[in-house]
Amino acid sequence: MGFLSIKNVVKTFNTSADIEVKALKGISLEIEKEEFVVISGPSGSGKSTLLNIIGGLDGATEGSVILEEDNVNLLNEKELSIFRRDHIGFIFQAYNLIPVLNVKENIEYIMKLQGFSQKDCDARVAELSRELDISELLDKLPDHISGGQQQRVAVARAVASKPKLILADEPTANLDSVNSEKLMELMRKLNEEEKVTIIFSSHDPAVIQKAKRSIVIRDGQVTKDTINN
Amino acid sequence: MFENILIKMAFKNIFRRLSRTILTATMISVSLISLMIMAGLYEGMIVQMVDATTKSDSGEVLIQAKDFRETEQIKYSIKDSKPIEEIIKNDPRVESYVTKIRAQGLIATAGYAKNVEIIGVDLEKDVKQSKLDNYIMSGELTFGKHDRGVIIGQTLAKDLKISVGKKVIITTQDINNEVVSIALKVQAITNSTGLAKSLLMSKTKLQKTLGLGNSISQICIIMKNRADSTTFANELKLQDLKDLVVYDWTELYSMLKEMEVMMTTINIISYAFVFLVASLGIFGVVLVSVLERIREFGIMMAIGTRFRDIAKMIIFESLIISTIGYIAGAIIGALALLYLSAYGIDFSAFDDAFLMFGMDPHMKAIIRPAFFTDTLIAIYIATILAVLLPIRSLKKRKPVESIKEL
Repeated sequence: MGFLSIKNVVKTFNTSADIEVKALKGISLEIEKEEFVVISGPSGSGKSTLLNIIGGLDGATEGSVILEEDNVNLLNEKELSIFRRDHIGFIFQAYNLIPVLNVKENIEYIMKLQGFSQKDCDARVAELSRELDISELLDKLPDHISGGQQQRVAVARAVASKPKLILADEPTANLDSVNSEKLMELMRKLNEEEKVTIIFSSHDPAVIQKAKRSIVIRDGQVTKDTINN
Repeated sequence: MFENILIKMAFKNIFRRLSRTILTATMISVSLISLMIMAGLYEGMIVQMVDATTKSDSGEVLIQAKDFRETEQIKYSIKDSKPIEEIIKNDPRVESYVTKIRAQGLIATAGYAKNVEIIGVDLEKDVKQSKLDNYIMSGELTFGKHDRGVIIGQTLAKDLKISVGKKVIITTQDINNEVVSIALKVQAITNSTGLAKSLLMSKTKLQKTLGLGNSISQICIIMKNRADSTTFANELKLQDLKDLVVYDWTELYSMLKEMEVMMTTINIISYAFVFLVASLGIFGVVLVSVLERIREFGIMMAIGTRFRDIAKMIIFESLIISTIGYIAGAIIGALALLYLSAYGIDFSAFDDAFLMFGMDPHMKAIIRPAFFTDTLIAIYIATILAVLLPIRSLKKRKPVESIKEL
C-alpha cells in the first residue's frame, strides 16, 4: 500500500429536490510519497470533492481514503480536526486567510495549534517568508495585500508545520499568468526541496504541465493517469 | 499558547465591528440600568413603608397587655413595665425602645370633628427612634410649654382644615369611662405615613388625663437588624410575661409583609423580562455575527482548529461584550441609584393616593450589592444561553460547507 491509498471512493450528494447526484463514482488511486500530482478535469467533474475527501473536509459515501495508517473515512470529528492539523496543508482557490490575523499570525497559526513555541514559530516564519519573498508583508492584514501575495502567504501557512501532504484546490484560479507561474515554481520547489507530497487541482493546461503526474477526472471517474516528462 | 491567539482574535473581532459591539453593550447596559433602578425603587419603597410604619408606630417588636389589641380599651394596659424593660435593655440585638399610651378619641375644631388615635409619647426618646424630625411639614417638634401642644398627622390636618398654632379639643374616656377633654395647641404637622390620621401628645399628660398613673399601653422595640425581630419576639413569647402579648412586625402588618412578597415577585418578573430582552438582543447580534463569519470559522476548522476552540472564542467574545455592557450599566446604574437614594423622586402631587396605601410620596431608592452580583450572573447566563443556538447551528456544518459560504 502506498503513501495515499484511495479505494472505490463514491460520493453522493442529495439535492433539495431529493435527487441523488453522484459526484464521485468509485475512484481508486495510489499516490506515493513526494509525488507532485495534478488532478484535472472540467468544472463539476469531481476534482474539489475528491480533494475535500482526501483532506477530511468531507466524508466519502463509500470507499476508503488511507493516508499512511489513518483511514480518513473512519475518523470522528475530533480525530479529523487533529488529522487535518497534523498531516494536511491546505491551499485554497480563494486563499482563505484569517482576516483578523496579520500575515505572520496567519503563517504561524497551525504551528501554534500544534503547540510549537513562539521561538520555533518565529524561526519558521522567518525562513518561509524569505523563501516566499513575503518578509515585508508580515505585519500586514490579508486585506491589505494583493491576491498573488495572499496566495504566497497561504502556501507559507500550508507548509509551515511541515505536513505530510499538501492539497491545493485550483490554487492559481484567481491569479494572473505571471503569478500562476511563480506559484507553480514555488510549489515544485517545495516538493523537491522540502520533500512534501503535493496534490493540486486545475483545469489550466499551462499549470497542469508543471506537475509530474497528471490524473484526469471526468464525470466522477478517473479517465487518465499519466506521468509527465 | 494557542488560547492567546483565540483571545487576540476575539478582541480583534470585537473591534472589527465596533458599532455592533457598542450597540449590544448599550442594549445590555440600558437593560441593566432600568433593572437596577426598578429594583432599587421597589425595595426602597418597601423599606420606607416598613420603616415608616414600624419606627413611627409599633416598632418591629411590640409588647402590649393582653386584649388591648382586640378591644383598644385603656384598661388593658401594662401596669409595671420595669421587668420587661430590663430584659429588652440588656439584649444586644435591640437598637432602641419606647413606651407609649394609645387611646381612641375625638379631635375637634370650631368647624370640624374627627375620630382620632391619640398617642402619648416621651417626645425626646420617640424622636430618636422614629426620626420624626425628618417628617415635620410645618411647625416645631415640641409639645410646648407645660406639654400643652400636640403634633398631628397631615391627613388629619387636612380633614380638620387646621394649621400650626390653632387650638383643638381632644375628647376621650378615662380609665373610669368618664368623658374627659383637654384643649391643646397644634405645634407641628407631620407627614409621617404611619401617623397620617393620628396625633401625638405628651405621655405624662395623657397618663394624667386618663388616670393611668404609670401604666403604659405598649412597648415598641426597634432591632439593630430587622431580620432578628421574629426570633427576638419568639424568645420573649417563651418567657413568663403574665398578661403581656408579644408581636413581631410581620404579625402586626401582614399586608406589609404581603406587599414585600409581592414586590419581590414583581422584581423577579422584572428580572426575567430584562433577562429575556437582553438574551434576545445578544442572541440576535451573536447569530448575525456567527452567520456572517461562517466562512472564516470554516477556514479555521479546515486547517485543524477544533470546534470546541471556535465555540470558546465565540463565547469569550460575547462575554467581553456583555462585560463591557455590564460595567457601563453598573456604573451608570449605581450613580442613578446613589442619586435616587439621596434625593428620591417626589410624587407629592399624588400625596393622597400614596398616603392611602401608607406609602411615602417621596420615594427613595436603596442600593444593595445583590443588585450588582445578581445582574452580573443574569447577564452572563443570558449571554451563554444566547450564544448556544448560533454555536449549535455552526456545529451542524461541515468545514467544506462553511468554506463555500459567501
